[in-house]
Amino acid sequence: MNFLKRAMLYVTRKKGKSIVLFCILLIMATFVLSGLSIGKATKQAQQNLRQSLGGSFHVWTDYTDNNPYLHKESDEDESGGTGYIMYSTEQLSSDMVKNIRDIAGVKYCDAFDETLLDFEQLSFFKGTIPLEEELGNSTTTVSLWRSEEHNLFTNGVVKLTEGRHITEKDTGKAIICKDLADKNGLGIGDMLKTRSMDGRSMTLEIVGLFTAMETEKIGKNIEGYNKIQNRVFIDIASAILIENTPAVQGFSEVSITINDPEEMDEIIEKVKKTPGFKEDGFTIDTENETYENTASSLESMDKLVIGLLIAAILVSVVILSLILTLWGKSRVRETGVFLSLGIKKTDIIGQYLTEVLLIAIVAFGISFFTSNMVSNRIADVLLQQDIQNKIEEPNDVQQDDIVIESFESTALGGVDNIELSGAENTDYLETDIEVSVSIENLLQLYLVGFVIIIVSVMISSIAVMRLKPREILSRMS
Amino acid sequence: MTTLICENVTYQYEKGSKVLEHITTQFETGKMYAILGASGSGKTTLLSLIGGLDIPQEGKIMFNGRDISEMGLEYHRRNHVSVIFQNYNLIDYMTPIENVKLTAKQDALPILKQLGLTEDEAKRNVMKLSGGQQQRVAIARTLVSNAPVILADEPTGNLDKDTAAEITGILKNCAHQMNKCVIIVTHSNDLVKQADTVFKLKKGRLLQI
Ligand SMILES: Nc1ncnc2c1ncn2[C@@H]1O[C@H](COP(=O)(O)OP(=O)(O)OP(=O)(O)O)[C@@H](O)[C@H]1O
Ligand SMILES: [Mg+2]
Repeated sequence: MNFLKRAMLYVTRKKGKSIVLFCILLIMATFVLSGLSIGKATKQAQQNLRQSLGGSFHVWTDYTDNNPYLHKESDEDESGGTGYIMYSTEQLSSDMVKNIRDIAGVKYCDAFDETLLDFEQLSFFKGTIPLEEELGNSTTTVSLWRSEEHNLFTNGVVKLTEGRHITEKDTGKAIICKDLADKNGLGIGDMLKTRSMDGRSMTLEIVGLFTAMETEKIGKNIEGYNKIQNRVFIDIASAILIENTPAVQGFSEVSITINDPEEMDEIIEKVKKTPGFKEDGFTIDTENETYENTASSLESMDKLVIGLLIAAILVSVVILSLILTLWGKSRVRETGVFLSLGIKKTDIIGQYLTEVLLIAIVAFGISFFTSNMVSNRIADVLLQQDIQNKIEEPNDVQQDDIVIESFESTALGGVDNIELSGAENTDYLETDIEVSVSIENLLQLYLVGFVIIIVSVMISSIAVMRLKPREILSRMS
Repeated sequence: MTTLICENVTYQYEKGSKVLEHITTQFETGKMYAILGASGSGKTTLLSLIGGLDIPQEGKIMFNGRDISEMGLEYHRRNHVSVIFQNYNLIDYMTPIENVKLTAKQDALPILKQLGLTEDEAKRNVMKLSGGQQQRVAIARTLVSNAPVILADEPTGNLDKDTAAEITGILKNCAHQMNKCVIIVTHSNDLVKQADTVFKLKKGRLLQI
């Protein structure tokens, strides 16, 4: 009779012990498997989070004295007062933006400048704040690299409903609001005449129409030129032409949205190495706070889970070893009989090991179902304890910081009146951790569990290993 | 013909006085031996040495002319000797058949029947058998091992007179009919009467009576 047969007989005939062992192994396996699956779910959640949050950073002209390309010129405006134009000779060209856009992991490049342009033929929607006569036909004009990647489009504030987007290859093209077009009897293919503040004019072709998905709140004070329905998007080449100043030779800012916030530093390094990019002319600011807050809480949960897993494994080894040692003591006689019959020690320990493994195979299998029930509850408890109190309201940065470069800066004060952030910040909390026990986890459990069992059986077999043949007869009698 | 020889065997436990001193004797196949002696006189110790469970400090034990410590104690245990204990030492989660088949491949039922067990008894859990029946199972297990030497440490110690007599009869058969060398440690006078040769162990010496 080989040890497998003996183990089978033991397990099936000693039902009480088998059931006790089964329960212990089931509980042990449930904890280990829950730990494994929660661990996996946390990893998955981290990845989902990264993907859903994305990340962004901003490259903009450095307006401090650190920038060797900075020029300050005094400028006389028509009312006779003097102001400054401050500009950097190093600006981001369309090609440079393209280079950045082509870096792997970059999702959008939002490169744009804003200025006020005069469209005298257009009749604009009125704002709530009365304007000086001369500004009556002006509107905020966004000159951009690719309208498709502009934040108003990517955030869904506006949506292109007719025609096409503006790309970096365009010259003399515009996108206006459908409402504005209707009001003025215009459509795709029609021409718009525009004039810069100092009188240069230019004709633009309407290539697309957008619909505003969100508008300013009723009762909000707003200048006409800031209303979203009055917004005009044009290509950067046209802006450079019409502005005709060294201050506007490209973009002074680009916002880069990336897929995975973890790659942020890596991508920034690549940006610095793109051809023509002068590092000392620009500042790079990252906006990663939301990700870091959440990620760190998930990370600490990760640690918690690993700790739990290790604890579960250690406790399992201890309990299993104790029980098996206890039972082993009552099996010294049996061991003696086997030894006196010439059965080898390894064969005997093999039997004891097989007994536990046989029960474990069943218990581990069933733990697949129990841990599916348990792990979600554990995960919920862990999450509640952890994430809730860790996430602070991320600061709203990035609003009025940019608009120094052009003379209209005062007029353009609060460029973007549509609030987007805020609501978004709570969304990822609903990225609840969904724990489900996979076959992969089950295989890991079998691996971990078998190691636990082997270690425990070895520990509990020390008494058997030590049993000297000489003691057999005297102990037996 | 001669099977086991003890040559000048001396044994003592660590930090103990000598249990066995210069014992020289021989055991032959086809005979039943009885070893008597007071409690603590070293009977079990002598049986352990013959059974290859330990090595004497002095002297040697030969099986068919070869020193057992040279051929390997485990080999000796597995192939030459088989032990019967006072408390039967059966595996409690097995039937008699399974107990007998622990080391044997051959069919166990015929030998169990031969020793007086019914088929029903042979298939019951061993713990549900009487002491005498359990000892028969132990003997059956010894017999199927084909070992030429059977060592028994007080095999009838826990049995009533009649049953003890039956077991003694069986062991005697083993020696006389199956040509085994049967060495029995005992306190039983009845058993002693059946033995071919009787030894007494006293103060470390083995005396033939
Ligand atoms: N493991 C041991 N370590 C030390 N001394 C031992 C050990 N086993 C037995 N002894 C001692 O050796 C002596 C002989 O013991 P042994 O068991 O051979 O006696 P025995 O004749 O079989 O006695 P009993 O009839 O009571 O079974 C005793 O004095 C005993 O105390
Ligand atoms: Mg004894």
